[in-house]
Amino acid sequence: MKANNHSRRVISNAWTYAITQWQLLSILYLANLLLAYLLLSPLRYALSRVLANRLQPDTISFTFFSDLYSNQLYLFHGQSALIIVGLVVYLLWLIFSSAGISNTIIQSSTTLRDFWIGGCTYFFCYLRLTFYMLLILGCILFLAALGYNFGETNVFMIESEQIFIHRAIWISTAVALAFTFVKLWNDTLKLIIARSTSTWFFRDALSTWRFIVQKRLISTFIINVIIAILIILALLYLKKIVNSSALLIFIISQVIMIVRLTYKVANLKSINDRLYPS
Amino acid sequence: MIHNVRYILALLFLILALAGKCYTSDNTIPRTTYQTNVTLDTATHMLSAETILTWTNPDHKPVDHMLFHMYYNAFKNSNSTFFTEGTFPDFLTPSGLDECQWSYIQIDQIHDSNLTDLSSQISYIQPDDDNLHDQTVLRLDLPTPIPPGQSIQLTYKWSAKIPHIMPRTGYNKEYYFFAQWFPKLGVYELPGIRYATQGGWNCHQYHANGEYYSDFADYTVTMQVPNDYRVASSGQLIQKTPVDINTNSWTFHVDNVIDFTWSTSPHFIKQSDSYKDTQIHFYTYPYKQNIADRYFRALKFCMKYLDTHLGPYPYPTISIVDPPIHGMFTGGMEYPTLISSLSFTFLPEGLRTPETLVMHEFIHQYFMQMVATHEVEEPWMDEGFTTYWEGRILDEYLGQSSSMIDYLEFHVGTKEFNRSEFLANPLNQSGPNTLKSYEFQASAYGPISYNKTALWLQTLERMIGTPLMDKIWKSYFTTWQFRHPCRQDFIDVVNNLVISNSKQFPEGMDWYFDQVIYGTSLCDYAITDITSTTLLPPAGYITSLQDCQPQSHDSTQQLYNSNITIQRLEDMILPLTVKVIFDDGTVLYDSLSGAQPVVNLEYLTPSPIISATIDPDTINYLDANLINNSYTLKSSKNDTEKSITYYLQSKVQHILEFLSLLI
Repeated sequence: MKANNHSRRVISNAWTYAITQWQLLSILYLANLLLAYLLLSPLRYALSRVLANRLQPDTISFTFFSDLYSNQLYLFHGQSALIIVGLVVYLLWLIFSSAGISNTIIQSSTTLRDFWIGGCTYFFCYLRLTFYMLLILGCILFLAALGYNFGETNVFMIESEQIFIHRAIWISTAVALAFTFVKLWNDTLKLIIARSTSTWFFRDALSTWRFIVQKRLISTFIINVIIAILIILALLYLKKIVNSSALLIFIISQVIMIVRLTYKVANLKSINDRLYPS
Repeated sequence: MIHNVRYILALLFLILALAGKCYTSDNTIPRTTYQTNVTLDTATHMLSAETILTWTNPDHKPVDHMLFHMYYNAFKNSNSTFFTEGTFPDFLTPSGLDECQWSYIQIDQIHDSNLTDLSSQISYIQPDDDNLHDQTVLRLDLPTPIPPGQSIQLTYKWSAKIPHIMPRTGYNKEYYFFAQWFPKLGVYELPGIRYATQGGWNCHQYHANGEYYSDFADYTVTMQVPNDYRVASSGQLIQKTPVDINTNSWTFHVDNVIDFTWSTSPHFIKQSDSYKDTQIHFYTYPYKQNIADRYFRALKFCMKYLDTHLGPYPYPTISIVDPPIHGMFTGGMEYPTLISSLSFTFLPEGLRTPETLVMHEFIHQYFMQMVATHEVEEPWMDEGFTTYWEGRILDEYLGQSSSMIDYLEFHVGTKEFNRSEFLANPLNQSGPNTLKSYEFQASAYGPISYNKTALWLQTLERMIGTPLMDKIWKSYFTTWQFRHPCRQDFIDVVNNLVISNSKQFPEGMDWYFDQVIYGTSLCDYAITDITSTTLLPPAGYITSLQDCQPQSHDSTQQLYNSNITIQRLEDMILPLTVKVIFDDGTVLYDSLSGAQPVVNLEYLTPSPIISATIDPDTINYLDANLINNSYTLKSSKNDTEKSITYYLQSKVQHILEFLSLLI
C-alpha cells in the first residue's frame, strides 16, 4: 500500500513537474514546429502557386489529390531528399534535447540554463548511446524478420493466411515487449550517465538492468505510457468530433504533440525520482 | 410531305433492322450442346473425359473444318504464345521444382456419329502469330463438309494434365479450379455478325493479355471426383450419386451460356442465399466463411440494380468461389453463372475488395456472358462497360467518396479511383480502344480498356443525361443479349437514341466516339486568367465645346470590362459550359464548342467578375485536371490550401517526434 502510494506520488509529481516546465516544453515544441515548417516550405510554396486563384473544392477528395499528383508532379520533386536531411537534423536535435532534459531533471532546475549546459555536456555521450540503441533495435528487427520468415512464407505453399496473421501477432507482441524494455533501459541509462562520474559506459549500461528490477521501474514506465495514450485518445476523439474545421483539427494535433513532449519529460522525471528518491 | 418521307424512311429502317436481326439471329439454329463426363484424378492431377458435341452449321454454305480452343496447351512449354508474350512466373523456373509443372490438353480419339475416326484429321494452327510451337488452336478437317443447317455430332475422348498454379486455372494443394479446361469450339461468325463479311471461324490463340470469346451452348457436365470433395460449378446441380466407395459423381446443367467452369476441394463449405428465383451459392474455406454476408449483401444489391436498369438475370443459379490464399491465382474472374472473388480474413469492412470484386464479376454476367462481345478483339466492350457499371453501382451502394476505401483517414470512391488509374498511367495515350488485347503495351491494357472506357461512358452519361443513358443501355442489352455485338453495334444504338431524344446532339455522337474509341488524345481545359478593369463614363468635351462633362465617380454609372481566358491544353475537344459569377451576385452561363485552343470571353457589366468555373457540374469526367477548371479574383489564399498545409504540417511534426523512440 505504501509502495503504491509512493508510486502514485512519483508519477503525479512527475506530470506536475513536466507541465510546469513550460519554458522547456516551449523550446521542444518550437523546434519541432519550426523544422516541420521548414521541411514543408518548398511544397507549401509550390502548392500556393498551383492553387493560387483557384476556387476551393467542397471537400479535399481523392480526386483532388490524384489530379495534384498526375498534373503537378514537380511539387514532390526534391521533397524526399529534403525530408531525409530534416530527419537527420531532428535526430541530432533530439539527442541534444534529451541530454538537456536529463540534466534539467537531475539539477531540479526550472530555468533553461541547465538544459543548454546538459545538451552540450552529454551530447556525444548520448550520441554513442543512440548508436547502441539503434544497434539493439536493429537486432530486434532482424530477429523479428527472421522469426516472421521462419517456416513457409510463399503464399502458394500455405494453407491459409491465418498462419501469417498468428505469426504477425506473436512477433509484434514480442517486438513491443522487447522495445518497451529496451526503451526503459535507455531512458534509465540516460539519467544514470548524467549523474555518474564513471567513464565505464558498459558498467553503467549493465547496472541499469539491476536498477530497473530493484526499483520496479517498469510499472512506472507503463503507467506513464498509459496516461499519455489515454490523453491522446481523448484528443483524437475530440478531433473526430470537430472534423469539419481544419484549424481546430490542426490545433488539436498541436495539443497532442505537446502531450507527447510532456510525456517525454514526465517519464524521465518519474524514473529519476524512483531511482533517486529525495 | 416531309413528315411522310420521315415515316417512309422510318418504316424502311424498321424493315431493314428486322431483316438484319432475322439474318444474324441464331434463334432458328439449334444451340451447340456439350455433354461431358470427366474424371478428376487427384493423385496424378489429370483429367480424363469424353465429350459429345453437337454443332449445327448456321451458314448458307457447307463448313469443311472446325476450330477448337485448347487453352491448357498455353502452359505446355515456354515457347507457347502465352509465355513468349508474357512474363514467366518465378515458380516455374527450373530451380526448386521437384516435378515437371507444365501441362497440356489433347484429344486422344475423335469420331463422328457414323463412328468415322477423325483422329488423323487433327492439326494445330496459329492464326494470330504463326508461332508453330503454340498449340492452343486445334483444327479438325472434316472429310465430309457439314451442309447448311445440318448438324454434326462429334464424340471425343480427351485428357489434360492440370496446370499447377497458372493464371486463372489449375490446382494447388487440394484446391482445383477448372477454367478454359476443355476443348471448346471457336465461334462461327456469319456474315453480318461483328465484322464478318463471309461465314468463318473466329478462334484466337491464348495470349498473355486478354480473355476469351465463345458461342452460346447448352452444357451437361458430369464430374467424378473423390467422395470427400465438394464441387462448385457453372449451372445447376441436377444429380449427385456415388460411383464407388471412393468416388462421387456430380452432374451440372446449364443452358445458353458461353463457357463452363468448375472448382472442387474437400475443404469447401457452401452457404446459400437467393435473389428472386436465383439461388446464390458461396463456396470458400471454413476460415473465411464469415465474409459470406458481405458477398450476399453486395451481390443482391447489384442483381437488383441490374435487374432494374438492364433486365433480369435469367439463370437459376449464380455461384461465388472465394479461393484459399494458395488458390489466389484463380481469384477475381468471371465465368458464366460462376464467379471467383478474393478476400482475406484480415480485411476490414472499410476495404471493399470483396464488394468490388463480386460486383465487377457479376456485371460480367451481362457484358461478356449474355451480351457476348469479343474479349480479345474488343476488350473495352466487356471490361470497360463492366467498370462503368461497377462505378455506378458501388458508388450508390457505399457512397461515391468511400465505395472503394473507407478506412481510417482514407476515403476513396470507385469512380474516382478508376479515373486516377487511367490519368496517372504514363501509357494512357499509347493506343486507341480499337486495339486487340494482345496489341496493348503491357501496362496500358487495363487503364485503356477498363478505366478509359468507364470514364468516357460516365462523361457520355453526364452529357446526354442519365435517363437517356439508361434507355441506351436497356436498348443495347435487350437488342444484343445472347448475341455477339461489336463496337459499331453499340455506337449505332447510342446514335439512334441520341438523335431521336437529344436536342443537344441532333447529329449523334460519332464526333465523340471518333475521339474516345478511335483516338488517343486526352482532355484538359483550364482557365488561365481573369481580368476585370473599371470603365469610367466618358468625360470632357463629348458632344460640343460648350458642354464639358466632368469625370463622374458615381459608382452606379461605372462599367467593368472583364475578360476570361480559357485554354485547351490537350487535343480532345468537348463542348463546355462556363459559369461566371459577378460581385453583385449575378451568375451567367456560357456555352463553348471547346474547339479553339484559346478562347477569350469578354463581359461588359456593372459589376466585376469574382470567379469563373469551367464545367461547374463536372460533366466532363475525362478532364485530366479538375483543379485548373476554376479561377477566382476574390481570394488568393483558399481554405483547401490551408487544410492541406495544416494536415501536412501536423503529420510531419508527429513523424519527426517518432524519432525520439530511438533516442
